[in-house]
Amino acid sequence: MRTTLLVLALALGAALSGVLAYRWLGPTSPAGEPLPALRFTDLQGQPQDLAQWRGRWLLLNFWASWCAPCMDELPHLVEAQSLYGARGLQIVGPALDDPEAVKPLIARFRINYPVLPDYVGGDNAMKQLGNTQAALPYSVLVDPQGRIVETVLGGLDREELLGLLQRHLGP
Amino acid sequence: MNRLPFLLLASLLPALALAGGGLKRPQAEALLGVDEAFALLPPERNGSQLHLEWNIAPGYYLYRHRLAVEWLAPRSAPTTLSLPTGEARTDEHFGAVEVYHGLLAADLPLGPAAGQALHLRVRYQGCAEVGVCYPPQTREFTLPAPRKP
Repeated sequence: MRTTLLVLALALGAALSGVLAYRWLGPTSPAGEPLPALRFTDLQGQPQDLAQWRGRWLLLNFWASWCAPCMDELPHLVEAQSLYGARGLQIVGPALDDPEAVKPLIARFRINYPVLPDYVGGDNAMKQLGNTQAALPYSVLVDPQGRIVETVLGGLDREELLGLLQRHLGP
Repeated sequence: MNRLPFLLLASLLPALALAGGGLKRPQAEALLGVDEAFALLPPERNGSQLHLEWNIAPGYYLYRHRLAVEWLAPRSAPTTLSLPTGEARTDEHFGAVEVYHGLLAADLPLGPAAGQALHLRVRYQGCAEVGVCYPPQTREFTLPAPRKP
């Protein structure tokens, strides 16, 4: 019996160390860190500094016209901006694209938040924000004080996106 | 008392704990680097053709419509790749597309450029089946003129 308990204790200890090892040695999420100073060019080629949205909840959604999973989540982002804009949410969409590629999609999806087509700036920013492979889509939620609270690699469906916002901005 | 079930449980728990933390959605560190996901081998001459080959890792795919060659020298060389039939997919955004898994071989007839030095740019783009896509890639290659027999 004592041996059994010892084995179980060792197993639980190993499981716990597995979880901790994953958390500490696994993905290097920037959650909790301040958002670095970032700027991207807008549709007119003018630089836009993310600091202009300090004081609001900022959801950075990195996307591109060549990324099908990115386009899957665009309707949900549009809905989220409508639902949560009055509660302090500002979605911003840096795109790894050129302006001419994203303009038809802004019209098709009726995107109601700033789209910033800046291939090089977006690529560099994603790597700074923990997305080492610069894979898309990638979303980063930043609180009104400019601190990163969550990062999400891969597409968000409607429930996941609204769940993320409800967790931080309330229902 | 048979200890085997407990020992099995003990050996599995760490793996389950690791998997539980990593299977929720794509993790940047779990994704292959783009050159591992879509390994493009150096192009080789094959008679009057140029042979291109990608080794696409399991769980990843390349889009046929995103494969292209651009000639930097000689600029007039043909650019139509001879590609195998890929897996047909219907994409909500891109319509009917073909994707490639595993080994992908493509040939490019060189025409009058066959005897010349070549400088080309290869473009490709693909995704991981877990639901993320890699940015379009560009690689440049230079091949000397073939030796005359």
